[in-house]
Amino acid sequence: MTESLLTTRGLGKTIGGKTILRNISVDVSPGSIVGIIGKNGAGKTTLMDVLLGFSAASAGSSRLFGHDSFTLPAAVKGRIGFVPQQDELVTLITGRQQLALTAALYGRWNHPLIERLQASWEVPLDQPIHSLSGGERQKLSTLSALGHEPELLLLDEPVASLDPISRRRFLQEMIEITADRTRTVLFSTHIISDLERIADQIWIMRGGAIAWAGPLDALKESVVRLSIAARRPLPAVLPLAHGVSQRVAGARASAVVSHWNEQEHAQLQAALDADIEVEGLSLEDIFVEFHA
Amino acid sequence: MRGIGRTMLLLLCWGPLQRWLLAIGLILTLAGRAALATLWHPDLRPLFVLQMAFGACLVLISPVLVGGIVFRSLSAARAVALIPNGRLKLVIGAFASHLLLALLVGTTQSVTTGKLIAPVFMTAYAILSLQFFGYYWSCQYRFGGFWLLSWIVWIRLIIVAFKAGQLGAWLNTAHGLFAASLVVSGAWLAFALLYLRSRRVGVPVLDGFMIWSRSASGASRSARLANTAAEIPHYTRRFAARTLLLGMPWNRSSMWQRMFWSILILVLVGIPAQLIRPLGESIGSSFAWVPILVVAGPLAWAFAFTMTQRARLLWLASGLARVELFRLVEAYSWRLMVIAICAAMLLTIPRFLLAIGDLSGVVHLATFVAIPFASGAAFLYAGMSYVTGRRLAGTLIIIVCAAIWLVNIGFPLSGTVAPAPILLALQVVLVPVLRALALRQWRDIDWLLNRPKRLPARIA
Repeated sequence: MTESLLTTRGLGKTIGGKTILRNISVDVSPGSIVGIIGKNGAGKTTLMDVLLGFSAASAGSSRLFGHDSFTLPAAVKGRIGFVPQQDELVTLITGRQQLALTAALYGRWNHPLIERLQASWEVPLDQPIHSLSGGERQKLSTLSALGHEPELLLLDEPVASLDPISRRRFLQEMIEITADRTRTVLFSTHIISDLERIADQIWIMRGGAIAWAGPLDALKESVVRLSIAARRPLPAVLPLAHGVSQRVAGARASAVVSHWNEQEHAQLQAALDADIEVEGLSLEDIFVEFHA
Repeated sequence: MRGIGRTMLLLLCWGPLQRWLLAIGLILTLAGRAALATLWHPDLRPLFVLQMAFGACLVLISPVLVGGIVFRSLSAARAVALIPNGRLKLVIGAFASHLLLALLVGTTQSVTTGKLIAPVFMTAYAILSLQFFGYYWSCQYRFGGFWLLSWIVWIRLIIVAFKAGQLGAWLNTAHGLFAASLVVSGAWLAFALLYLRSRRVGVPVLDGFMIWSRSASGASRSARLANTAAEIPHYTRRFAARTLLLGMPWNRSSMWQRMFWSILILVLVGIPAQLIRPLGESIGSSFAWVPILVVAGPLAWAFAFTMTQRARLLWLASGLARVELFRLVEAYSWRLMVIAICAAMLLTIPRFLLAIGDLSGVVHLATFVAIPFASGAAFLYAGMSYVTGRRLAGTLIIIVCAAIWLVNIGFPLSGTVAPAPILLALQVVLVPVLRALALRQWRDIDWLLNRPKRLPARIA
């Protein structure tokens, strides 16, 4: 079994009496590409900040490369790259100088990789950063996070400000960078098509908790919409083991469930004395249903 | 009305610390006023007077030091153009908030000294308005922070006007008061017209109160200076850490460039400051230390507080632990504070040397040299202690420092030097305690909350 690179157990975060993260227990294996999706305020940014040790967990534990996130040793920090949602660049200098500063801090730097990416993403390196557009700053942030070839890369909404062409190029590069399965990527996004394109694991965050975590294919297979037609009126609340949402109207009902399988199908059919039609959902529909 | 009210609120208390200062200041002022009005413990009257004055100072600190920057930041937001009468709401909000502040000063002064409220109100309104206009205008420029130092000139002009020009007596007459109100209202009207007619308002360039900051051309120039070749330049780890912490490149050439401009500005401000003297009046040399103390306190706090937030940028990249980052921020905060105090001393030292006879001996001289550094150090550690998540403790520390700082400023203004050694001793004892507290806060500093923030752009 592969050793987990990132582990959380019962992770929680409370700020000023408000619970931002609750009971998050996840593992990330090396080589995974994990996409985190959730509404605004679901806790994605907070989760990344706690995972990286910027903030202490209020409950539970978080470990990166086997070390407590809050007290990461220097050697471990050097194996991590991070692109924050709001860039943290020095606005008075040029992009080239920003990259040089980052390179100086990390000590090792893959110049050919950064030159290639800079050319591909068309990042203007000789202009002062404050004169760059939001998308250009985001690309520069990503370059800064990639130069030292991190084993674990965390990106907080990395493509939010990019145009469709830049986004496609960016995702293509991400696929190439992670193709050898030696790098692990954790990224949050609101763009579902991007998740489908590159993520192999999906975390759906809802109200500070992880409502679903697992492989993308498993998510699509196990989250389905049920159309139920019974011979007598249905109860107001259907007895669903992993119900995501449900609407009942007399003898008819529609429900979305996760972890669906043949056994559950047979059991529910018998319990409700109903015909059940199962329909697969797109990732976007799944996301919407999780937040319905 | 809502937009105006929101602008007033933002100008009076735009951040958590300012809200705390405003709330505590108002409570102190009102409680002192109530105690004086009800003659509760008449023998404690001096204490209540002091309490009211201190409360009013706490309320004033934030609007005076950041009001102009916040106003420019709000005005520069593109969203303002989409809000019906957005700029008008902003400028009325600024006008009204300064009216309130002047009223607070007038009431406090009237209650504590028994003077008429109207002349004090008008004087306060004029001074607060001058500070607001000047700061709003200057903070669009690279050296905008020097506006604060220009108060060395303004204060002297005001003293001359009051002492030699009989401004105080004139303001006590109906004609004088009417004329003064016309002048101040006219100034606000002119400001409002210019502000409303300006095509665009640039963002403030005083990132975190740093004196040396950017302008578009300045940044390009510094970029060219530091790097003319096309390839990725090579920097040392130390330089990289320093640049990320300060938010600006800080190497030898740029330092000399800044030093040149700083000295030029200091000379330009300093010479008139030395020439302006109240006619027929001799102010003590101790007065010369007031601007140094003014610079030492809030600037040291701002340097330390800004770098505490920017240290987030180094958490992963530098590999340093929290305590090591604390030491790094501490070192650079000290360096900047010493530069700022020395710059302010350069400005006032000629005046001080001219009147050295006013001070009674070497002990006092040494005390006066040491006090700004001790006061600055106390504020520096208060700035490093003020980490979100521990706001109450941080705010209380700042209030203690502010109280001592105000006494520091108060005694030279009142012309006495007697309490100086005691104040110095108090601050020398306080500094290591504050350092220990700051270090404790830093052991679990939360950079999710303490991240560099951009000023809000909410007025609708």
